[in-house]
Amino acid sequence: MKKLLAILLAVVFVMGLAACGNTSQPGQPSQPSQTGQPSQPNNNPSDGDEPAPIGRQTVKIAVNTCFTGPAARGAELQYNGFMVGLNEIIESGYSKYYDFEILVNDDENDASAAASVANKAVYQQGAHIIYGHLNAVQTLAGLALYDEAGIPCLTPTTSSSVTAFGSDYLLQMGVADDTTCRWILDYLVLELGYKNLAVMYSGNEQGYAALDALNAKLDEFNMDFACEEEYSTTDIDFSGQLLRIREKKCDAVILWGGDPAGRVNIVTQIKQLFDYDITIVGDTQFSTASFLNSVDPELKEGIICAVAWTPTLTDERSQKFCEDFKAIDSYGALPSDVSSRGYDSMYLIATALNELGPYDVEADDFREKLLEKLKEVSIVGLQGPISYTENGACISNSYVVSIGADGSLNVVYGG
Amino acid sequence: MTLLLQGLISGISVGAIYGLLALSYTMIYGTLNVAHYAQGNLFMVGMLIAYQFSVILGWPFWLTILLTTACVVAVILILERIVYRPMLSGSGVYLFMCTIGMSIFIQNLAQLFFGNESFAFPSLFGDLNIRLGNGLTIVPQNLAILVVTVIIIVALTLYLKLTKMGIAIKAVSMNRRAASLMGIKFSKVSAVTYGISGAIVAIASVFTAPVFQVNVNVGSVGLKALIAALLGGFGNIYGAILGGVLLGVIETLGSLYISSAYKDIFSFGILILVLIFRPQGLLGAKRITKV
Repeated sequence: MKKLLAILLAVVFVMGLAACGNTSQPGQPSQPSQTGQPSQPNNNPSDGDEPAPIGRQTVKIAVNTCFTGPAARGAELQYNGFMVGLNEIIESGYSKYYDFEILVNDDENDASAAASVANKAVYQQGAHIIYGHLNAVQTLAGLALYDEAGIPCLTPTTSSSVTAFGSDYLLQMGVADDTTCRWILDYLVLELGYKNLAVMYSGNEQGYAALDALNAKLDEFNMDFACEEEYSTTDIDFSGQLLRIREKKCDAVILWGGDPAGRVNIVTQIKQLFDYDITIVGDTQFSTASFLNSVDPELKEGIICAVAWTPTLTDERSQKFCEDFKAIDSYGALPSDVSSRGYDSMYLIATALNELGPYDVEADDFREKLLEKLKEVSIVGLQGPISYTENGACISNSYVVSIGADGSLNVVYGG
Repeated sequence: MTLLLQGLISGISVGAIYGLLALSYTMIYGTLNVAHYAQGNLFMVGMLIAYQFSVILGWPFWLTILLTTACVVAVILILERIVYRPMLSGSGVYLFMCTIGMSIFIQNLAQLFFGNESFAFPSLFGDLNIRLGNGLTIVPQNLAILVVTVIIIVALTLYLKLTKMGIAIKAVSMNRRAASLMGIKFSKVSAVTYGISGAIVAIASVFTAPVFQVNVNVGSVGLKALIAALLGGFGNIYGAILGGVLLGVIETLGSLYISSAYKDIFSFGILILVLIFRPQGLLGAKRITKV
């Protein structure tokens, strides 16, 4: 009887674990999505011979991101934005010649797992294009493989470390951090006249790359940071770093890298420990609903951050995006700007495929042709006009905004 | 001087959190010789449950503590009865691996139930901060954690000294076989030990929730607590608190006076030093094995 009970329990646990391993998100399609467009026979324009009729093709897009691990919510925000874009394209019939199959892979926010899922997407699933990874470390882990296989990779990460990798197949879906870092410092030094600055950066690729970019810009002003403090995303206490900054009486502290949860703790501890008002500045994490909903009005008021898109924009497209996003989000939350990058990615892919025209997706040069078109086309996405320089750097909007007590984001610099 | 004092205050505050969790680890290890790796995940479960009761349902704080404790104790007792106890007769390594497996299982299950979002748990004291002048600040929530730690350690000491079950727990911790021969029912002692440990974790999770952002990843603090327990002497309840406070102070002062980039190196470095020069931990008793 005991053995039977033990076997039954083992089966229950195994089933539970199997369920946990399913990366599909609540309320979202885990099955491949098809546009369901009628077949439109057309020609392969790659050669000058007699055009061969090609039916409607299916492009496989692998979404490789961290559905588990400490940044899982960020991945959900990214993925949901991507799915809103896909659903819109399906409904409107925007994609003229291709259907889409979405392959979802979990990189667990871990570099070795990212390399594994990259391998799986390329060699087992036969992906034609990659959308991911959320963070710089995982993107870098996958990039070598995508380069080797010649697969275009659209990444939502804006880290300068990814830009510096110099991949021909990479397209960052937002303005790189080194540009936003420059704008932020321009605003702090030139507009506000601050001279005594501190920086707190996460101890990972994103944080280190941002520190380099910030220091490079500060050199132009003949300035140095009064304090350079590193922090880990697993820390709960930041008093050591903050007390050093307090001791130097810094005008502003720039926070870069990490997740919204860590930000809440840092901001809370700044308000607890500081006996004067210090300006808090940072990257896009401050504009996420996770952060804005977690802190009191007096804590978030006056925080300055860089964003490419905000849900407070009142244009019709942004508002529709917010509504559609809330409808599929498991928390019914508003999207963040990483969501807008997901949405824009799907439109960039569909636009590039429209430009490419009918083409055999199994042809050896399909991915190369697609990459060419991805770099050639320009779209007007949620983030505004998006295009690429010859070396793949993203040209788009980015703003420096000030957060209001009600969570509103008010543009103060850039564009 | 102000800087040092504020660093000490902050270090002790975070150390008390490590210590409370370390206490729950050491309770199980000291009695049953099991390093229960999933303890950090139970801490996370406690926070998520407390969030549901306190914030979503709006129930009063005392009721939140009671119900969260009941839920976490129920979870740990289920684990003890159906997963750990049947494995007690086997090698300790298997049992340890099993606790790691349970840690992953609980983490994933929590993700399925609660999702990936982070939630803010309001402080008992609102935005109140005690400003002592000269730039010294005490956060009332941290003070409350310290007070709760002291209450728990006193209550636990009295329980282990004055009650029949407490004495039975101590007997089992000294020699399980001899205790069984003296008529002490091991299964009961095991369940009570896990139950006490679960209750400590639950209380810790409710009181420390405002310090964290409540999400499925907060269990990672369990690793620091494990270091604290080892530092103080695995199995010694006072050692757990001492280890926690020491770890918190070393981390804070290290990042304050040396560099924040080496924060984790301070924690692991001190652990390695202690394990080299005093393997039983600061307050742990030396184990003598007869051959």
